[in-house]
Amino acid sequence: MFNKFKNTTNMNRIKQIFSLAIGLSLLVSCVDLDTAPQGGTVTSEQKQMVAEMNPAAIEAELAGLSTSMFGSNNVFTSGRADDFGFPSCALSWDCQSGDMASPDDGYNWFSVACSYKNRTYTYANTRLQWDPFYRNIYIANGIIKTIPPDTENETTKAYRGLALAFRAWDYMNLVQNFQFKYKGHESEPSVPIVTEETTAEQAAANPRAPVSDVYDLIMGDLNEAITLLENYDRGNDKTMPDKSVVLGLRARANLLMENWSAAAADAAAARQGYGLLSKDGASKPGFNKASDPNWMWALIIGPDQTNGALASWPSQLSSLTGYGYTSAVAVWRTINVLLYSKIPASDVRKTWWVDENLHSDMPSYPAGYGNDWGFNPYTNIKFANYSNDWGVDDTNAGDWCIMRSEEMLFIEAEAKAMAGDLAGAKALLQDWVKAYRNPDYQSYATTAAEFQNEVWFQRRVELWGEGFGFFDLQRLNKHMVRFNTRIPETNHPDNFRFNLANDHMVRLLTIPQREINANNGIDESDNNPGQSLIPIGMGAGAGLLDGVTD
Amino acid sequence: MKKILLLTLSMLVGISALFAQQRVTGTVIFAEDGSPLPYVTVVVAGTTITSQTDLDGVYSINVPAGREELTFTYVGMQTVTVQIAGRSVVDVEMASDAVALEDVIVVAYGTAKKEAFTGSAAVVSSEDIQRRQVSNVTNALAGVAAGVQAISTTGQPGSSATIRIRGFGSMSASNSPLYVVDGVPFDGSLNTLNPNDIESMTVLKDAAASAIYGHRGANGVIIITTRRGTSADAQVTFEGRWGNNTRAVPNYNVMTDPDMYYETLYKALYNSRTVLGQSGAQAHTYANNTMFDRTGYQIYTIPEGQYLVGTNGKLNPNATLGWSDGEYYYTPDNFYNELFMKGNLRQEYNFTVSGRSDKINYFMSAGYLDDTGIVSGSSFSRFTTRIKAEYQAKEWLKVGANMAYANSNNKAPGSQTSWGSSGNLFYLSSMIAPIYPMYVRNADGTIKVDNNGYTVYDFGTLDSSNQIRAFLSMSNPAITLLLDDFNSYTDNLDGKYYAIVEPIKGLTLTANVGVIARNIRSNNLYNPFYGASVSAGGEVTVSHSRLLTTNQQFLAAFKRTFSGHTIDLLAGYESYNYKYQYLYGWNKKIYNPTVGEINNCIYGLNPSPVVNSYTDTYATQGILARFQYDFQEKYFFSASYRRDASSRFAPENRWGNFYSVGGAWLINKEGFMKNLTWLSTLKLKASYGMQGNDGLGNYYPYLDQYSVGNNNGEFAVSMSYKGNRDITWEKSQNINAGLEFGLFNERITANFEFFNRVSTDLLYNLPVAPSNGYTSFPMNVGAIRNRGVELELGAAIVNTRNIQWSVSLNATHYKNTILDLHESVRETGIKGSRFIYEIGGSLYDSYYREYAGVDPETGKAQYYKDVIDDAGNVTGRELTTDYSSATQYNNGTTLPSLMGGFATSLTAYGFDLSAQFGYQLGGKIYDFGYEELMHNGQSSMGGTNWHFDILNAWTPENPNSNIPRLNATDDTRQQNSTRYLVSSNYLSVNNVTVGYTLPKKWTEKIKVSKLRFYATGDNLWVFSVRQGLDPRQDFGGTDWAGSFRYSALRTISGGISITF
Repeated sequence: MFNKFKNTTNMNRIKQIFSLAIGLSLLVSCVDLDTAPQGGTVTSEQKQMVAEMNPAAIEAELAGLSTSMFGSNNVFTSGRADDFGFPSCALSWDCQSGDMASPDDGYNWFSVACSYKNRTYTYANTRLQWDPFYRNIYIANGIIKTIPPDTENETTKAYRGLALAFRAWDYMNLVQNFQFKYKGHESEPSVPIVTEETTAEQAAANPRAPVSDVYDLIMGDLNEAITLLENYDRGNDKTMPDKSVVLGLRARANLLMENWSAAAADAAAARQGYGLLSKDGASKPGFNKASDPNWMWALIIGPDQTNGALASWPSQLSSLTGYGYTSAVAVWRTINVLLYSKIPASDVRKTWWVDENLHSDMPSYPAGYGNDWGFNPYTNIKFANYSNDWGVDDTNAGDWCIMRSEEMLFIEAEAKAMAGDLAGAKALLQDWVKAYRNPDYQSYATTAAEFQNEVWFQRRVELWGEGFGFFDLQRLNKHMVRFNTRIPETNHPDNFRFNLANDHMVRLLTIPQREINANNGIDESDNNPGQSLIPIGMGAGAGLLDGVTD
Repeated sequence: MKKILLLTLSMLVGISALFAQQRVTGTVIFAEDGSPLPYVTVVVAGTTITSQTDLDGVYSINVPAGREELTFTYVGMQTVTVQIAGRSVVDVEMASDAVALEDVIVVAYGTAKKEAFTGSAAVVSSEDIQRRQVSNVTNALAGVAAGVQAISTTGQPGSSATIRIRGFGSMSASNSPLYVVDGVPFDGSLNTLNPNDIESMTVLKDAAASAIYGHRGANGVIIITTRRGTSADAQVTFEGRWGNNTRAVPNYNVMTDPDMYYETLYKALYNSRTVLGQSGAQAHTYANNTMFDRTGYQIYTIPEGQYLVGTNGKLNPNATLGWSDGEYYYTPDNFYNELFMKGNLRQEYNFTVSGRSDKINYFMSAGYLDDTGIVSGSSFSRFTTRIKAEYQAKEWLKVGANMAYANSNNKAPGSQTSWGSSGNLFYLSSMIAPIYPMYVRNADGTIKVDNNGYTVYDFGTLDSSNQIRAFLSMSNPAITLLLDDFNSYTDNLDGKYYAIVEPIKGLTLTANVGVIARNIRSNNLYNPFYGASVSAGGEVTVSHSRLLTTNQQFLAAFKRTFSGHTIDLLAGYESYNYKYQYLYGWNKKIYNPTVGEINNCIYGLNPSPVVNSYTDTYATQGILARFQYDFQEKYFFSASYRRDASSRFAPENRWGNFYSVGGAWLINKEGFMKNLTWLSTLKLKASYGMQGNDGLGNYYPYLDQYSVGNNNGEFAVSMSYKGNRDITWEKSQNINAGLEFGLFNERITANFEFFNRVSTDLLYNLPVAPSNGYTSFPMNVGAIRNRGVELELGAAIVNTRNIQWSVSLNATHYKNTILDLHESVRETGIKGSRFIYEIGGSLYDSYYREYAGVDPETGKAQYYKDVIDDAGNVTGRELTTDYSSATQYNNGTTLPSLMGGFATSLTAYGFDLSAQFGYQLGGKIYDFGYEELMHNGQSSMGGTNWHFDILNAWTPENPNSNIPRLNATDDTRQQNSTRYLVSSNYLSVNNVTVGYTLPKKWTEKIKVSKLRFYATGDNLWVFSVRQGLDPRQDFGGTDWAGSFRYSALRTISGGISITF
């Protein structure tokens, strides 16, 4: 009897346990191991799903070609103030020229460009001029791969064309950084080529391709893009390179390859339909609105994208931002007095920089502004802040110009002269300068070479701060001159006061250590020797001249 | 049937209780020497009837019928509970706490008898924890357990120490141990745990101990067990302590005299010209003319036409400190003294009630802590409560809950550990030259006060005065920390609910549900008056994160002993869900400058504030089983198995199998050891097993991920993470072997262990050539080994009734070795600018150019450079003064070769004294702060202070100095090199406590069973190779160290503890 009683209780308990167990197993089955992010990050599957729900979403991938070229924390996550994509590269290139001086100061993130210490291949700086372009190439390759060359659909034709244009532009930036000018260096090593056909194995052992191979790729991409974009209308979206922009890119490429006639023709075709910046327009701070009629291609960077980030081009270049590395901690970007002193007083562009007394004749320049903000002599006021006010707006937003019609005009003029039509070239340049910048202008060149220097002077002044300074030195094979006997104590600080001969190997950027570590096709010994040539001593290269600032 | 019998018995007893009380007497003696123990409290269990022994140790007490137990308590002795069992004389022996054998330790999914445990575990007792004045319990782990390393990168109160157990097994995946609180994995904020609630912390180190935690046990497990009721008589305790925080680590030995600073700067500038061949007169003029450009500040009044420094290199005697430009007066302030020479309050109160009866065990606590750190705007305050109860509802059913709620506010200003940040008060005050004012002064020398009544601080820009500071202009964190307001309000609810059913004897079925709900609302206000947010009109960020984790465990355990054999089986299922939701908003232009809310701002010119949000989820599930067996409590064997799935991996790679086996042999129980009476314990143990790790930072690493952006108003997507579908578990294989012994009845104990921990299939973010378009992707590659030995020693040196003195020591030596890397870097290793990973090296090998001292002829710094022949082979090395051409070498591991701690405790006649120390030997650290302070006066270092050592720089008269010449244009003298890679040896005094417990005969009169007063000091000193350098902030020397991070706190408090 006792036994029976005991068993019954146990049975009840076992029933209870079973019902408990069933209840629990219901809980257990809730565990879902297929998790996915929700928010600003999407997975491939989610992206696919969105594309199915909204086919237009594929345009978002194209737009990524443009947005991946700016934005803070572009390459690293550590919040470097020089990590903002293409505009940061452009600023480095100007700091590497003789024409932009800036303080030797712990706050100056671009001091390594000024001193050429950015050739240290372990530094992040090499990555900042490498990763953004290859990442852009990766995105472009992804699009190119999915759309066959013989596509008939106008939309997909345009998509492929846009991707090809971006890719060509990427390689053009890379090749100029890693090797001297095209002519005479065709078989010298430049950068590894990655296309839509490159496999992971090939990418893991990808040697530096000869310069000519890279140019072949660039030309091939541009030629195909011009065909594909024949009927493409980008509307108002200047972030996308339409046919005119691709012609402009081909003009640049032909100029680099010294195909003078082709360069002149492409440049002339490219700038068709674009306005030019008027003299009035040039007599105030600007260069930050893609809607300007002379802008051909741009990165559009609004306040909601920068949120006042200090890692942004206005923070590092515009003297008018309310809060940036310039205005807050006095890392002003100034023009080298050697160049400034060559700009005639009658040229409206003289007002883009304050003089040694911190004064500018720019009509809107508030009296005493430079003193109030602690400007250095020759500080630029060329680049406006987002609201076009004086020192209030601190959004550090502003569009970045990649191509504008004035540059095309310079290409056309230079190439025309080099191709033999000096008179036509002089007329083109002279007409423009007189009408738009300096009514007193006169070209005195008697040879194409002299004229090329005159165009170069125009480029140096007009495009100052826009990222052309260094590549022009390379293309024209000029010495980089920061001081000469005319004005020996220039405004470059001690450690940056040196000149570099045209063939100085430190002018070639070094391939990042990270690339060499992971790419078996490039050995330490294959790298450019830049690292071993720094530092360049104060006063080095004395006596070198560039033919313009002498 | 038994139940009925019991009932009858108690009825009989109950009836007799109506008629009788029993008088029990006896003598209490001290077990060690047999001497009688006076003032021992004797309590009839379950009642309030209390008595006490007299001077001869004799007591007498009336026991009501039906009461069966007596409890004997005495400070410093183990509490004894005895059954009366009908006796009228009950004699008792009491043993000292100091030699208490922790018989039972908390292990994975339960407890184990210490002698039966086959794995490796270190136990940290509640005394060790509660003695420390830590606001985060992880900080109490430093130096107390072998095999455990703890560093604190910041002294911000409430911040967690970084804990590593037996080295570093992962490259890209987590190296953090798993925290388990009362059996449930804990992902809440560790600073929400009140150290006063903690009974013990058990650190599980080997596979036998932690493999059953499967995927989360690879880096060791720290089991935190909260307190429970221990006595039938309810214990009510109150503890309060009040103290003072100061900076534990002072600044480097830097210049504080402006004259000396300017003379040194003069010398640097002067030398920069004479080495170029200029004349002394030219150099003199240059140096004087350049000096104020370099610093930006004129602080001397110098007679017209004279220079500050004379041709003799000394300050012009006619120059006086202090200068006015008519509008302001400039004179330097001592930043360090202004900021750190006052203390800040720390106060802590804890209140607990606990007890047990035959059916209920309960513990309740409430605590309050306010720790105000050492700088303005930094503090941690916390209110905690815990209710823990277990109820024996039925003979076969036990239910319980453990609920802890914590409410805290962590005020942690940003940037206080960031190198070079203008918002970092520690960086600024460590590095600024002694020539700058902290305050703006009116022309008459008084400190300026603005319209709001705030003292005006000098920001070194034209906004505050008329000079621009060369060093970190546009900053003065001393005032911004006062006016900015950072808050991180946290509600942490940590609940565990369980039911244990025992359907048949020996079999228990347990269901545990653990829930952590944590909400953190952070309101950060950046003031509109001074500092970085002035132009924005002030800024506000508000973020909210919500974390919900649920853990479910269903366990079945069976234990049975038959003829000397004991088997103990465990099987179960466990699942874990993690969901993290985040919302962030930013706005600027503040209306009310003290309110950190979004709607207090209007953004100004542009239409909307910034908002963003996202959700991450993660889940695991697994089944587990364990088998434990012993024979005659002499031979022990255990085996465990766990199969786990993680949502981090693709479905086909989701499951991993983990296991362990272990054995132990209690040799002293063998017959042949009988005669060795001095040997009380001798145990040999060994284990082997495998654990897993899925702790990659990304929650979906098998998937390609893209970020969604805005291009001119349209969507733009670009790849943000390259996934790899093939990745799966990182595996950690563990061997442990140990020898434990105890001598003279455990008066001396020792534990010696050997471990070999090999991680394979490392989860590694493989760097790929950036020309691929992405820079890394995750894969399973490589192997790392941590091999070492641990020693723990304890001795009760004196153990008499009135005096107990014990010491303990632990030491760990291990070597971290990379065994394998991906084939692309197998030959070359992975090189960073400061570290190198290569096969045979460690994860903390530094990679710097080697400093070769000073060229005695020129005073230039020299480095080593490889000599390479035409074939590219290294044939030797030579000296070079050209830094950039010097070769970078692997400088070897920077990890210490020996580390640990030691402690002592003395109790005598009511007084107690204890001290705990930590140490580390044989490692290296990169003293970057010192490097900066040894600069050469170049313009980019303008206004940076100098270390006194610079005065010993090379000169022609001092040719044998190891410090290169001082020359403002020498680029190669202040560069990263082994010159600054210094020993990381340290000895730290972690805690000293002195207390006095009032004699019981006094306190009893006010119904207090224990009253203790004490004084305690935490983090009292650290002795390192250089003043200002705290090696406890880094594991090794591959990162920059120096006194630029929030310093550790030295806290000295007085306290009172009362038990009723």
